[in-house]
Amino acid sequence: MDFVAVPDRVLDKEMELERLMAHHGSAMLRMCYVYLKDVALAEDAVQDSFLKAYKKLHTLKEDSNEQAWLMRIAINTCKDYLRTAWLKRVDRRTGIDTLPEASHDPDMPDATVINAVMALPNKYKDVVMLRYYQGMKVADVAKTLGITADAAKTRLRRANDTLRQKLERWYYDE
Amino acid sequence: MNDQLKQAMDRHFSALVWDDKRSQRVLRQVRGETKVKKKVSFSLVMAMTLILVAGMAVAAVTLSRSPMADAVTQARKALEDKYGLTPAAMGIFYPSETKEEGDAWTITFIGNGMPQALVGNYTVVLKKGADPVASWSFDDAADKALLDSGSLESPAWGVKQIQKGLVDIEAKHEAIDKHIKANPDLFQYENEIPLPIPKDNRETKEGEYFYRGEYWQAGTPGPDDLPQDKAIEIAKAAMVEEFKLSQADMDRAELTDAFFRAATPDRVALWSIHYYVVVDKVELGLGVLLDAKTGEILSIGLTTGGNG
Repeated sequence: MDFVAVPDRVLDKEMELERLMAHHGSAMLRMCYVYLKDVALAEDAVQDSFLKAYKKLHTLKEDSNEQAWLMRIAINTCKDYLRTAWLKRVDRRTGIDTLPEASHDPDMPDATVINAVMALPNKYKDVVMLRYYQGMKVADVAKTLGITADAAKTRLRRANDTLRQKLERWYYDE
Repeated sequence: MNDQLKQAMDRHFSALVWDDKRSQRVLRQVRGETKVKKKVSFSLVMAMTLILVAGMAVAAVTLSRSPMADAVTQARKALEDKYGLTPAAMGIFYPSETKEEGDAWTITFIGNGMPQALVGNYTVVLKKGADPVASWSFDDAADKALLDSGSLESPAWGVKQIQKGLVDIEAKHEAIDKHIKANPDLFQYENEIPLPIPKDNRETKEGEYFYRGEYWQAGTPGPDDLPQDKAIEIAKAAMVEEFKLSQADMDRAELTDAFFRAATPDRVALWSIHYYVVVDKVELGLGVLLDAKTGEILSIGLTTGGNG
């Protein structure tokens, strides 16, 4: 059998991609689901995001925030999918109750808060997901979205106002 | 809020996991293992011959457009003539159509795939018996030389900047970051396509689609409706003509959706055909809506700018 020598840098790149997928894949999948509201589309979006990330790995500097970098790619990919969905003028949304069964107490009112976040306009969803789900600092949220920190803070405040109204006392505290 | 949202999502979505199987699928793709190998052979020559024959068949399709679709087509032509906008560049805008008095139309192409603060909006006014009048919100751009140079430093992005931004994503992001830093007020709110909001906010059922604020059930074409292959043939011909695609482009294109809606007492039967293709490193999402009985084109759309 003939073996083809694979250059180390190629293997390194693949290992790096594998590490990124293992570390960030599930969080990206859940985030993409919140944008796209469709499990299959979310899987496709994450797969596309990692393929784009692989091609751009050389642009990821050692001291840069890889989470912010990946989320930016994922959000752009999801928005692209949504633009295509607009073009189609077709929405294939599936409810969160149609997801594969989760291993949590079914009486927990998680769906309330998640539905409220999913119903936010995209620009508010962006900041909420990055700040509260991904746990990013406001400065990183702003950088990821390509907006100013002040704009990110404004959006967070407005998103919080909307969530406060929708959730009433569900889960809400600051 | 921070921990509670995270905990709620992690708990509720615990079954949504990016597992090793999915990672391996991505790795196989980056290694090129899932791509079909092409051979230059007799079969390739035969395939090319078939493509040419198919191209001739598509070119033979007669296209008819609704007044609105025709207005958008004329407007696109006017933008190409006056501003040199390519189809790919036009794909970052979406048309908003307004019928004026008589047969006049005003079509506004709203910047969406790139910041509106940079690409602006284009407007075309079409009046019967008169030449189309096209304008751009940056027609009075201060630094014409910078605009014409194609530099991403220009505060107004014309076709050269858009083309550059569609291909060189990193340069686009870097340039946008600089512009935001220089003029944060202009970028306070990102422009968004207004998505249709359903009157009754519920989940879609099996085989149901959400279209322009309503829930539709996918149907099956009747004997009086165009069959799917005919609808696809018309849609492909329309895409080739509208966006100057080559037959080779369309041959590479992937059919992503073919949705049929049956007629109701107040609505025509409809085909919605969608394709995806990469042309000159730019991803194109193409869509055509057809009257399923007459084959009349109701709208033709293109989106670009999704490469990151």
